[in-house]
Amino acid sequence: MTTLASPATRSIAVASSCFHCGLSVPASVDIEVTVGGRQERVCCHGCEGAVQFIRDAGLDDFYRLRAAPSRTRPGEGVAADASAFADPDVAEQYMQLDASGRAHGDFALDGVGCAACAWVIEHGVRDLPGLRQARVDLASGRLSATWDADDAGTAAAGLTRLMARINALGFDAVPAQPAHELSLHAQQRRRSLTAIGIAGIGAMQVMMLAIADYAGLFSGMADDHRALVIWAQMVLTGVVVAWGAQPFFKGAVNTLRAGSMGIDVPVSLAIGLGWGVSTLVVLSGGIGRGEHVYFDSVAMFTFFLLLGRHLEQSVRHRFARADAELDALLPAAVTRLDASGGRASVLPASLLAGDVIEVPPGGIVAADGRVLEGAGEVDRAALTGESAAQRVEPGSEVAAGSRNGASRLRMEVLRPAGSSALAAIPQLLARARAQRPPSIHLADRLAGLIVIAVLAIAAVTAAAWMLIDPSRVLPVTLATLMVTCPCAFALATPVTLTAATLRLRRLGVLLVDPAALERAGQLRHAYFDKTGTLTEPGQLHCEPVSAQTLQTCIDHAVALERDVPHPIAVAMRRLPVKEEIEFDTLRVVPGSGVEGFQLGRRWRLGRPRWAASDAAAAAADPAALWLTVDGSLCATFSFEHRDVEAADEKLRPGAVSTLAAMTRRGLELAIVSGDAPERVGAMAQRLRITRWWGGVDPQRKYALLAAAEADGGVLYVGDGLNDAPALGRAGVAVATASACDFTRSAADAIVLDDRLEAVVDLLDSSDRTRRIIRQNLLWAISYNLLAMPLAVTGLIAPWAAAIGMSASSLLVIGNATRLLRGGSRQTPNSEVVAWT
Amino acid sequence: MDVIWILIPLSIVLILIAVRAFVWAVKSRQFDDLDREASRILFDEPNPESAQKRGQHEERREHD
Repeated sequence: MTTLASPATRSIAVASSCFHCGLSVPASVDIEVTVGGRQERVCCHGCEGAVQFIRDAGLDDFYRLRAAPSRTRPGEGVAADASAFADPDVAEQYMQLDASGRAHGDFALDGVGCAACAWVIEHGVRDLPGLRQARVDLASGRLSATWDADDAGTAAAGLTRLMARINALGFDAVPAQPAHELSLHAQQRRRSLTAIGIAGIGAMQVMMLAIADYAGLFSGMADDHRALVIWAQMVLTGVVVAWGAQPFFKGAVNTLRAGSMGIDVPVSLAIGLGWGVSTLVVLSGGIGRGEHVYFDSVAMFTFFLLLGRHLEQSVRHRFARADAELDALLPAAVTRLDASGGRASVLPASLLAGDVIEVPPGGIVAADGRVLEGAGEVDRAALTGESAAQRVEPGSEVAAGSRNGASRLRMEVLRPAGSSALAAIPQLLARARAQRPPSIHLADRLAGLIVIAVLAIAAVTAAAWMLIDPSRVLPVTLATLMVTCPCAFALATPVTLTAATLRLRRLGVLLVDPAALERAGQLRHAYFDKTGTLTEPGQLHCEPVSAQTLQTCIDHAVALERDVPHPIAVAMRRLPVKEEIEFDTLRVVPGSGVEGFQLGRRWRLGRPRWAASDAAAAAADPAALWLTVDGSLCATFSFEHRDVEAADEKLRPGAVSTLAAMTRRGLELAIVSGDAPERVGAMAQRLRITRWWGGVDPQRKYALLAAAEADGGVLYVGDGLNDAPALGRAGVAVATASACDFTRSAADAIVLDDRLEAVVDLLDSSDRTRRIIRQNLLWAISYNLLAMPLAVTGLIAPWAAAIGMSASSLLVIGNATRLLRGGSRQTPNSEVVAWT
Repeated sequence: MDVIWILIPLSIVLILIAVRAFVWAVKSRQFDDLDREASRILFDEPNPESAQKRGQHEERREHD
């Protein structure tokens, strides 16, 4: 927790950011609250309320202990309008009512990144009437809650109360379908931990007793004492085998039933045989006759195997991805208007063609539709990668998934949500996933064969020793089974991939599918998306017209747009500000722009016709934004994207060096973009890339990737929603930091900060990873081949075999950890890791 | 050395108790989220009165 900071240092470091949410404080806002005897500035009354609430509830430790501010303002975000869920029919979809009068629901949390956030939420909702339990799971970013409810109506009221309270605390909680997969994983993890605990505690005790026994052989031990020591071992090993080794027995039964061979079969055989025969020896009084027991070997063997398996399982689960579904792209509820003007909240899936819906400012359009009332802008960036907003007015068609701008729209639904262009993307992605050849580890492929070989060798050995010396059949067979157990072989790949995942995390890359590192070995092509991947997303371009300097215009425009939740305003705020301008009053005029007064002068930023009244404005490009003072033009703002030659489009830092590194690796470069062909062509020429496609829709991107995949592995780097199917099809799919959650879910790896060079790091790390995997596999095989003859000929005792097996596995693990050395570059913005 | 007739069975009983305790801890989800448990000790139970007192205390310290 290196990010812990006292309130003092924080308020000095970023004086102009809000104490509560961390967003910038508009210069015109001057609200202060007292927390912990200190005056702190906040950005709005919502944050003021949140701070007061948290302070009055005695939860102000939160500010001292959180890793980073939530960056969510109370009153903003989806949950700000909880009324959509007040309708029992909608709420019902997101909660379960049981017979005892309890309702249970899951919520996806936004802005929750550390233990302090979880703590403040759990304690902040505690006093809600009827709330029974609320627990935040940090790993999955979810809250599960149980509250009292007599019927669907009171249950829905409880749900909205909970949402409203969490929103008041400054977080966004949206009802979500319970994540069955995640709870299943938690269950498996608990089961595996239980097994490890039992086997670990038991094995250590057995080992201790066994050492006493061995020591007794040299120093002399009374026969009855020795019997006691061995009986104790038998009981403890019995517990380990019956409880801890269960997963192996179950696995063996399952694989045999399915008619295949798995590593569980020889493992179960070794454990069962070792314990069973040793127990027989004890019960038949064989110890007195000098016969040996193998409880220690059996217990240690079980413990080490469980440990290795747990390691591998936790890697798989950590990166398990929930299946991308359409629901994730649509709002949770929509306001539908009926003929008489009545409103009802409905689920997007229940919308039919002809329904009239209302889209609030900043809301997501749930279905393809035609605007009936209202005018303004919608942002289609998520869908098409276009960064310029689309103007809409009555009659224009709006695609599902677009984000509404600052005005309220009333729309007629043209198609049900399920048949929109947006809905086709998840379907295409699902198809892409199904078609990509499943990555089969070399180890998995060989494991079956090796297991059969091990069993055959053990059987032959047992038969041979039956003839040579029947008293040594058991120890030799046991030693053979243990030594030849392909544990190190099975560990070699997963453990190396885990280490590589950690290494990449340090380099700022979140590896979702570690198997991509193996696929990276067969890469032949590198395909890049253009907008947002190679170039900066939606650069606004400012052109001063009057006597004002460029910088003055930018400063005023940014100050005007400071608090506007609109895509253009977001792009505007990326412009470099030199001086902070304070406006006396700021007013948003929906569909037109923003207006502010400063020193008696009226500044306007928005549509030309509204901002300026002269004739020039009427003839101006309606897509441009005009900045005016008292009606006279100062500057025009436009997206470079649209009006400036592609040759001037701003490349992302690192784009050129990344492309050069790809070429050095011998990869063939190509650009695939949804942007206009001439612009893509110009950019390709500028970057000296000969292969490019422009104006490509998601289906075509997918087809291009599929064709390239057939020719050899493809690396695809993209960020838009339209890239998702292509990412799903690519051998190695990388999403950049600007990608939305849905696109991220299609990628194998996500670059967490804005560094495109991380893609090169990814490929370099994959080289080292594959090299280490090869070394590990080679070692594991050589060890087995070397030790097997010794075991078969009876030169290795079972306890030595168990140690040898463990040592071999440890060596493999040690080799893998070499990946963690060097190459570490602490992400400068560790927040990014916590917040994505 | 006859004491081991008592000590070894006793140790087995203790181990079974330890195992039982571990299983209980896992089942009651105490190992589900290790990151959070690690920092839980830093949080006090919420109590408006103590929160105010702490605030005053900090204030006083500042003046010193």
